[in-house]
Amino acid sequence: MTYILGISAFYHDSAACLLKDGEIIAAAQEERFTRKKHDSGFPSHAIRYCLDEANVKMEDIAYVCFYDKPLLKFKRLIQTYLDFAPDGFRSFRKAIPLWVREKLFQKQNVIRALKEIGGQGPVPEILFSEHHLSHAASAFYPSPFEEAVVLTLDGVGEWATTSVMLGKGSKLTPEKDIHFPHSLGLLYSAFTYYLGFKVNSGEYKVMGLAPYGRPQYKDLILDHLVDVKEDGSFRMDMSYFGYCTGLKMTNAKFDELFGAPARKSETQITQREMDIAASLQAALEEILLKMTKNLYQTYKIPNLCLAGGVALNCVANGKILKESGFKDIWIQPAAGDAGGALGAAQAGYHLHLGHPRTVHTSDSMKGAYLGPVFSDEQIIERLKAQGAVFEAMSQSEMLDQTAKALADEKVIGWFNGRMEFGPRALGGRSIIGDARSSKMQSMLNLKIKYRESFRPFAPSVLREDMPDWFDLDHDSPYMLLVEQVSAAHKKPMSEEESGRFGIDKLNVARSDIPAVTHVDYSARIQSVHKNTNPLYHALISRFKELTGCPVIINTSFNIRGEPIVCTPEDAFRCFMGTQMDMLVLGNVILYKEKQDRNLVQDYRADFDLD
Amino acid sequence: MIWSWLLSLILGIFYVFLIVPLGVLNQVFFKSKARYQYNPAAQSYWVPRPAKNKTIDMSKQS
Repeated sequence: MTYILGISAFYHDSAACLLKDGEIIAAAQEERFTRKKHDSGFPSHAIRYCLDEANVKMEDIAYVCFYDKPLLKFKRLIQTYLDFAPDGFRSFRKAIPLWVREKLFQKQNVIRALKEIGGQGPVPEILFSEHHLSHAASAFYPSPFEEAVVLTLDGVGEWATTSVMLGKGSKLTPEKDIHFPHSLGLLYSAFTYYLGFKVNSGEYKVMGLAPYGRPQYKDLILDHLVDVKEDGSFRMDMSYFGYCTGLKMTNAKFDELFGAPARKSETQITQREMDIAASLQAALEEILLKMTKNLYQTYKIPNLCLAGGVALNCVANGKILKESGFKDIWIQPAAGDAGGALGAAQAGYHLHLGHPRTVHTSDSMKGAYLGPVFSDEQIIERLKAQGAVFEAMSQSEMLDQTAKALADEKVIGWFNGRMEFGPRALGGRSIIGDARSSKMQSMLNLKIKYRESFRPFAPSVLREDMPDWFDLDHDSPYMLLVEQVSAAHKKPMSEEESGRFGIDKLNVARSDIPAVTHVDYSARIQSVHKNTNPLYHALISRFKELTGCPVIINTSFNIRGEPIVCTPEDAFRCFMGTQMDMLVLGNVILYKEKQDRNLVQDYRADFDLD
Repeated sequence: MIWSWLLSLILGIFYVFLIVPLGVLNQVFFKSKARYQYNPAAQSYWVPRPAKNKTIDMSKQS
């Protein structure tokens, strides 16, 4: 039996993943255990969890695979300073001490940390993947394809920011790259910064903001900031960006191009910001479509795999699926750096050790339910320790009560089965509600999640009913594809409603499921499959029996700035700290009105705003 | 505070006397800035992987 441990760490979204003979046994992000969003530290907790899940010790691990090559990264850093000298001292002053103190000695640091976890036993041999190889491996090996073009796009790894590899059987061959500083991930991050959101976490807010705006700056972006060739390859005009030499993503020339300085965080969002977001999204989609169309024409392989942070742009993914020419696409659900842990382990198993690969007809991610699970006994014991008032019941009764509460427009914390790996809650650690309710979107944003009112919510829909409700008939179990609500369920808008701008667009019920219909009639769809999450499927089925609607709202179980809950204690705290009505953990139900009001705590200040 | 100033001074000296001269030589003799600029004549900005880099040696950190 060969156990391989994959690790990503020391940048953001640290994670660990354990493979047993190539099968994914467990994977989790460190932030879920430390309760520190995007935790970049060594993933000790996640590793311990993975070992416990498989019931193995460190000495049973054959190899530990790290997700990138630190010395190549350092070389890129120094080369960039040389290329931009005499500019760049500010960035040099900040980065070099960190590298000299820690990052240059990552191998030794990893060995030391592994020894702390493993005790006196031997430390496994450590292998180093390349950043984009890790992403590509995470996209290709678990995919349902025997052969595929693999496209990875993110901020930056060692040198590559965009890579094309060809996957066949157990082989994964790098073909071509685009190198730093030209990066679609960094372009998107630069605008995220300019629009007043946090880099590396606010990118999805920009995507959510885009449908409120008009893409009137798109030509400005494509004429001045990016030079795109016919094959979709690109370079950026670095005179507008600050990230090579300074501590800011954009500079004064960028401000001048867009006619104003960057928006200050938490200030009011205006139509201008919405228009810029819409323009960026349109430019990104144009580049990605050019690129993927050309890849299809070049390689004539019908399947495409995607990973890297840019692959979390589900609006662009939906367009690639429809328009690129590829017959099928598969996107790694943990497409960001956390997924690098999974990819590094897969690369170690198939490429370094040369083991063959088994292709599954759906995929081998197990629905991304790869994290900790708690039995009803464990849940009850932990809830008692919290002083919670709860009712334990049969599964059928739990499903009936939950479905009825959903139909009564209650907001429910849903904690069931294994925790998800990746940024999305997929019915393991979710807050759920009635998608038909017109008040649910603003209530969830303002009273439960404590986040910006413009942000949309996603639907979970029974896979078999999906084509009736959305213009999509392709599995989307990981909430990575955006499509329109079907015409049969859209509601026409009046002239006055059509003429509204910006946030005013929000208060219009556009469909039979207004809570999950964005202002452009789109939805970020999760198809729910009986074979990967039978309980969640059963819940939505019961809801459908009551209401005729197979769609519910699914948002992550957390408040703004908080990592998604991991344990029953996390879930109970979030339940008591928000205006959620009901909490379901396994077959145990808690009602808010029955809880001791002294246990209510406002813990919003514990987390930095994202 | 004093350590921070001292560190800045040491890094400043290193930067001015090593990085800047090497950087300028690099820019003048190896035209290293070219890859940061648009190239209207190019058909593509993709950089093909050389044959020797198509197999990635995972035993190395670099």
